[in-house]
Amino acid sequence: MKNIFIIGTGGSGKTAFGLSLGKALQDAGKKVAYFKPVGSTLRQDSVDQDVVLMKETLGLEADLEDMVPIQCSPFYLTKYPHNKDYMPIIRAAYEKVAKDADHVIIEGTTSPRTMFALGLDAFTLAKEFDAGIIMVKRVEHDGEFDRLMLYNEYIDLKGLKRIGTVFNNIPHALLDKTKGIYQTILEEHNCEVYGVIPANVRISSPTVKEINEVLGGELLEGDTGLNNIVEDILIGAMTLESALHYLRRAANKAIVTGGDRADLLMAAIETNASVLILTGGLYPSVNVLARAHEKKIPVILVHYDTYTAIEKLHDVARKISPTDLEGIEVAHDNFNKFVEKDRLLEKIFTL
Amino acid sequence: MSGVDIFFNPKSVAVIGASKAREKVGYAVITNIIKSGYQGEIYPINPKESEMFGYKVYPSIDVAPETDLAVIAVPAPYVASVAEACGKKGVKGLVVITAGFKEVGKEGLALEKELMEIVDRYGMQMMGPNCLGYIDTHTPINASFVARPPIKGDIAFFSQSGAVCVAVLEWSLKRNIGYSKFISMGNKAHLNEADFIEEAAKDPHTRVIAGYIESVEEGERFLEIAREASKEKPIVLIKSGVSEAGAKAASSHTGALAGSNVAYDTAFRQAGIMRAKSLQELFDLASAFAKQDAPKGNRVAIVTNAGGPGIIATDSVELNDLKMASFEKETVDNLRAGLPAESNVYNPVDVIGDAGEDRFRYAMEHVMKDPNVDAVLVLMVATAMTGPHEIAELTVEMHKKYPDVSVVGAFMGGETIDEAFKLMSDNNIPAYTFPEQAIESLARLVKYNELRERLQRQTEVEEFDVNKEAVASIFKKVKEEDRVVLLGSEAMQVIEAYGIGSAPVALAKTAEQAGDLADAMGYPVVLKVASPKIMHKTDVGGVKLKLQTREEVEQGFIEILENVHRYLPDVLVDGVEVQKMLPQGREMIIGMFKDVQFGPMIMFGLGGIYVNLLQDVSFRLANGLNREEAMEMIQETKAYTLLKGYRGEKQADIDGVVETILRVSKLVTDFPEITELDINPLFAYEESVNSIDVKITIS
Repeated sequence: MKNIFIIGTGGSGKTAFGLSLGKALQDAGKKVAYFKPVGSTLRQDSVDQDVVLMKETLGLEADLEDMVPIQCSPFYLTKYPHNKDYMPIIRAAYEKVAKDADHVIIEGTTSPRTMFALGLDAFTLAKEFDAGIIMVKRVEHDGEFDRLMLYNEYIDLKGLKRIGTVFNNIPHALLDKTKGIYQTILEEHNCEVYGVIPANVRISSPTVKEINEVLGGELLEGDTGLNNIVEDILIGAMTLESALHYLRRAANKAIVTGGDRADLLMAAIETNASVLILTGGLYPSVNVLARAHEKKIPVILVHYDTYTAIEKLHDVARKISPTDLEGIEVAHDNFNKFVEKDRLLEKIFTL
Repeated sequence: MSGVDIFFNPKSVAVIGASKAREKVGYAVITNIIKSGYQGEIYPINPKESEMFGYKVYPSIDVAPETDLAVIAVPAPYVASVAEACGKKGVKGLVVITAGFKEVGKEGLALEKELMEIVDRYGMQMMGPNCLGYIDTHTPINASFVARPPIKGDIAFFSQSGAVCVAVLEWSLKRNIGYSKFISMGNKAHLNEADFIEEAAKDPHTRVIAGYIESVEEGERFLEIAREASKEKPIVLIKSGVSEAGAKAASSHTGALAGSNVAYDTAFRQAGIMRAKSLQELFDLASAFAKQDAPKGNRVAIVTNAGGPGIIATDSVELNDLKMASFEKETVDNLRAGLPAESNVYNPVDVIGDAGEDRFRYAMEHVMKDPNVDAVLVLMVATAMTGPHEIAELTVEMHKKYPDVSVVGAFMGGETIDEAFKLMSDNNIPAYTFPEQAIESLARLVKYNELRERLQRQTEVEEFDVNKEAVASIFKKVKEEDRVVLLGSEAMQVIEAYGIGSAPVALAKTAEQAGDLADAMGYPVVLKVASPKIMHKTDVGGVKLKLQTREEVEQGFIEILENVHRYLPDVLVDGVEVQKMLPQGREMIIGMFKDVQFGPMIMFGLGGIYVNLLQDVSFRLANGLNREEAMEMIQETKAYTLLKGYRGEKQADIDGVVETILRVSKLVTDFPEITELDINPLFAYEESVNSIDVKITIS
């Protein structure tokens, strides 16, 4: 099987998985290419950052524009008129990228159904390129699992080739359930499962840098610590004593509060917060900044209110960047530790 | 030798930045040193001058003669290079008056760090930066820029605030309060309150140590030093930033997280430090201690010419945990024989408004002779018959005659009493305007005696047989999973490893598993949701009690998951804990939190869901907690009454509670990564104790 299509939903860790799969194939002596027919640019970047990561990390030669020919947005039907056929554009780009490759890893976008209206959803694309499909899925509740089952069924109905499923980025609390229940049900339905990868905050939680890109705040302090990860968000609106209790119970936290709450800010600093986010445009005292600097904790000032800040924070997603060597290492480690690599490669080679 | 003593006995001092210009700080410092009568060598340093005030001026410290001390008053950017030159020259102590360091933010912080690096490298001692300097009235030396120096006295005073220094100085001059040492600590970059307490404890000219602080720099060292020092002499401190708004202001001002107020209270008490609530009280106490030794006991006699104030004073005695002395029969008989019939001859002794000096004298003679009297309050209101001055003279005379009885004065009045006050003060008798102040000071003197006795008693911390490895391995697993909060079952294993009575609990991932566990434990059982994200399990429908059958358990498991999902849809639970339901015991709480300044604090009190409402709790530092103190913790709360047996109940296993407190202390001192721990409730039975729910947070 030359083409491998990775399908998943946002936050499932498709890219990290694809990266490690690519490396595994390279290690097996194969020439690997990477293709993302439909890309998405969440922020101000001009190119989908996943593609940059793949190109640089796997040492690929193709042009970035060819690796991701179409850009999706929530209003894509405005940009791409529906009476036009885009498949030839994608096909042309694919041909350039796939030249000489033994395997092409094709990554789907945020959701498999994205751009369904133009016939550019993941399933149609997989058929177009005669790709074997790997579902990479984070399942947090039974409803998510239903969806996974539905996708698998749909793959069969469309006559597509199915490699199997990898549960990825699974919270510790759900590991047992995933192995004991979800995996069992899939296997009963003849869906192969190649691994259950536990969540690792190092690659599943956003960094302070990513948070600030979304907040668009003023970085009052941030010479260091921009790579701190943020797992939890606390709003500081209580008394110091109550706050301390919550602060201690949260690891890798961002605290969102006003710059005039010196007491809470100091408590957040002393309990090793990942970042202080000050709302309402209230500057903190110089002493707070000095202490944050000393403890290497970034301080972001935004000029809007706390609610807006929290809303924006919901949109932050973790992306591994090409320079994040530790993140890349964690992804490879996860793959090697929790995925049945030999069985998976065997299936790819023989399908 | 700590090296701090160099400030109090320097053979020579250089003033870097000394100036002839009156508006300059460097002018105030050099002239203050000269005027203070300092006997050592003085070297003004200023590149633009050759002579000032009759002294040769050196262009830089490099070319000046060797010197013990350097006072630095040059702009902040030059301080580091000047300090470096001082280091090379072999200067032992620096007083950095210059501001513009940590207190102004990041750039200042960088300067302060650079300065500290130099100070450390040359092994120098440094006061400040950003301070007023210091004064030693006995050496004497006044290396500060204060306008008027204090008079000589027995109080060593240090302050984190320069403004407090200035205000206190002015006020003390008017009140005739003298100081042995007067220190403005500034940013406390190097020397801090602990160093000055240590130094003052050794100083023969200091009888009492007083200070104003906003934060404590090195909590544990501070306590250790204070504990030793308060065996020698009293320490009275005022710590600001105790209210919520105050803590906010202090954090903003000092750039440090304010430790909790209860931690300061507890730590101070355990170190023998008396905590003043106001500046007024600080100096009332300091002057009382400076003037007199503590009374030998707590029995107070009152001699007054004023009935109403006498009653107020009597109330005050009781309110402050002192006792009204009860006189020997002989004393009462004598008083009755010599005083008018309408006088009160019992304590308080009322010699009536028309009393003159003679009647006061008669009463005081007999009262002070009485062996049941440890202290006397002379309480007078000026009348036509009695001048305050006469009574003050009499009080001084009586104090000399009966030196074993402590004496305080309360002279109620306006300008007429000023002279009396001065006379009393000059003769080391504390005098106040109102009786409550006088009694409060007396009470604190007595309290200090008790504190000192306690500190001097040798106390030993018990050793217990515990399984450290088991705890370490649980913590390791939790950290590997990037968690900071332990599951209930893990927390229970931790305390079990420390030999603390525990009710076994196991984690079930499925309803079936829960049923199996319950079958194995035997019924009835309790189910509790397991998730580090949930702090109050009952509030989200996460607890089921008294389940009697397997069906109930399996049903309960599902209901808990559904309830929690309804309240907290985003929380992923780890499962449900199954625990054997134990018979109801008397509910206690043993808790612990880590204070930023003083480390782990242990809390004990009445447990259950009303803990936050009743707040019937006591606190101690975990470090060094011994059996006697653990028992006192219990006795301080109403829980003690409950444990002893209330309304016909039998006594509960108090020793078991004490031991649990001690074992928890050991656990949290052995594992400094524990930031919070709660055993709530701890069931106390007649023969044993058992932990029902345990929460542990680590860092």
